[in-house]
Amino acid sequence: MLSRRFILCISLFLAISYANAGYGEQTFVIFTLNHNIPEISRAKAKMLYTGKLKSIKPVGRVQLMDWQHNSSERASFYRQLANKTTGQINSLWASAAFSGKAKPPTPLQDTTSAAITQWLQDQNNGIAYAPQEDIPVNSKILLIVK
Amino acid sequence: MTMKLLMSALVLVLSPLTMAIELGSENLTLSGFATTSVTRSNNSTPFYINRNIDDSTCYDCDTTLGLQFDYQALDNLSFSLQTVKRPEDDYSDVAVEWAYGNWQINDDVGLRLGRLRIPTYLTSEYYYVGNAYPWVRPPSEVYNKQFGVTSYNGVELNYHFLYDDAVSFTLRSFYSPHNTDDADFIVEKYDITFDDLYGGVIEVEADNLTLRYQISHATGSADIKSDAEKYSLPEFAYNNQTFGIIYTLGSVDWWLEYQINDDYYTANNSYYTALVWHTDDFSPYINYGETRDTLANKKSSRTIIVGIRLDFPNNFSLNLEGTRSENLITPEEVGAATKGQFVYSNWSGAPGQWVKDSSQRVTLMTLALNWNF
Repeated sequence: MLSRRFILCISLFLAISYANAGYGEQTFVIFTLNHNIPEISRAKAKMLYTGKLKSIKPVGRVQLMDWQHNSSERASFYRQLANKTTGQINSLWASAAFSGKAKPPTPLQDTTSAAITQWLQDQNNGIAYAPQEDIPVNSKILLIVK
Repeated sequence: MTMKLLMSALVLVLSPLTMAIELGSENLTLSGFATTSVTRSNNSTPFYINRNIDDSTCYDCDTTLGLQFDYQALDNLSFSLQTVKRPEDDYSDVAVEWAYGNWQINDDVGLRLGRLRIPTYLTSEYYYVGNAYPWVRPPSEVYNKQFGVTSYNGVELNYHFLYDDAVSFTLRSFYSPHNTDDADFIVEKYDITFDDLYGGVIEVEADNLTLRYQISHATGSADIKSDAEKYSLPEFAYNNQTFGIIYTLGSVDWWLEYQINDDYYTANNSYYTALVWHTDDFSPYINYGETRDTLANKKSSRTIIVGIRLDFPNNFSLNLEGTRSENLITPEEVGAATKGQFVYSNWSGAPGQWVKDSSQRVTLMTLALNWNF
C-alpha cells in the first residue's frame, strides 16, 4: 500500500516536471563571423553552452557570447537548446568557471545586431546566438535552434 | 570587525555584477562567489565539522567569500588563482584553494601544475561555490570524510575526447609529494600531513548525464592539540574510492554519490542520494545520506535534508533548508566516542575526553544567500 502511494507520488512529480518543461517557441540561430568554424550539431551546441566542451576542431578554444542574465532571450535560448532553466544554467556555469573547466559566455550589455557583430570581430573564434530575425547579414550559421 | 565591514562593502559594490570583471585586458579577469546564512539547530553539540552549528542562532557559520583571478597568457597557457575565506577562516587568514598554471598541450591533452583541488567528489572542484550545487552544503556523510581538506600541491595530467559530438570522456591522473592542512574540532586542532597522494578520475559527460569514478591513495598522519594534551596519530595509509552520478530527466536532477573509505583507524562506506526538481524560479530538493561503519557492520549515521532554492536575477539564489540527522552507533559497539555528523560525540558516558551529553538527534534550519559573478 505504502509503495503504491510512493509510486503514485513519484509519477505525479515527474508528470508535473515534464509538463513544466514544454514551452518556448522562439527560433534562435547560433552563428559566427569566422568562416573556419564548422557547422555544429545540436548535441555539440548543448555541450558548449553547458560548459562541458570548450573547443571545436579545427579552430580550438572558442569564445561564447551571451545575453544579459535576466533577459527573456537568454532564458528562452537555454530552454530551447538544453531544456534547462536559468537557475540550472547559472549553476552549471558557476561550477565550470570556478573549477577551471571552462570560461562562461560573455554577456553583452548591448545586444543589437551591430554590437554583436563588433564583439564577434574582436574575438578569434567568437560564437554568438540571437533570434533568427536579428542575425547579421554576413554571418555564418552554425546551427538553427528550434 | 573592520575587515568584515570592508568585505561586506565589497560584496555590496560588486553585487550588480553577473560576469567576471576584465582587469585592463580581456585576458585578465576577476570573478567571485559568496555565501552567507542564518542557521540554528536544536542540539548543544556542534554539528557539521568546520561550521560548528549549535542551538544558538549563527550568522556566520557558512560565510564564504571567494575571489578568482584568471590570466590567459597564451592561447594554450593560462594561470588561475583562487583564494577563499572558508566558513572556518577569518577574513584576514584566507585559504589559497587554487594557484596553478594550465598548459593545453593540444585539443585533447592538458597539464596543470601548482595548487589544485583534490578531485575526490562530484562537487570537489567547486566546493564552497554555493550557486553551483543545490544544497547549502554538500552532504556531510560524503563530503566531510576528509575533514575539509580540499587542495593539494602537485600535478595533474588530463586527457579529454569527444565521442559522436554527444559524449565527452575525461581521464585524469594526479600526484602530490607532500601536503599539510588543518582541521578544527573546536576543542582539538588537527595538523594533518598527507604525502604521496596519487589517484585517477574517469568522467563521462553527456547532455543529461555525468558519471564519475575516482580512486586515490595517500599516506597520512596528524598532530592533535588541545588545552589538555598533545599527541600524534602515527602514519597510516588512506585509500578512497568514489562513484558519482548526476542524471537529468526532464526538469528533475537525480544525484547519487557513494564512497568507500578506509585507513588505519576507520573503515566506512557512505552515500547520499538527492532529487532536485527545477521550475523556472524555484527548485525544491530532498536528500538522504547514510554512513556505515564497515568494521562494526552497522549504520553509524543518517541524515535527511529537505529544502527549496529560489533563483533571482544577477546570479543570486536563496536556500531555505531543513536537516534532520542522527548519530546511530553507540560507543559500546565500537569502543570509541562516536560522532555521526557532529563535531564531537554526544553519547553520555562515552570514552574519550570531548563528549557533550546531548541528544543523538539534531534538527537544523538554515536560510542561505548565494551569489557569484
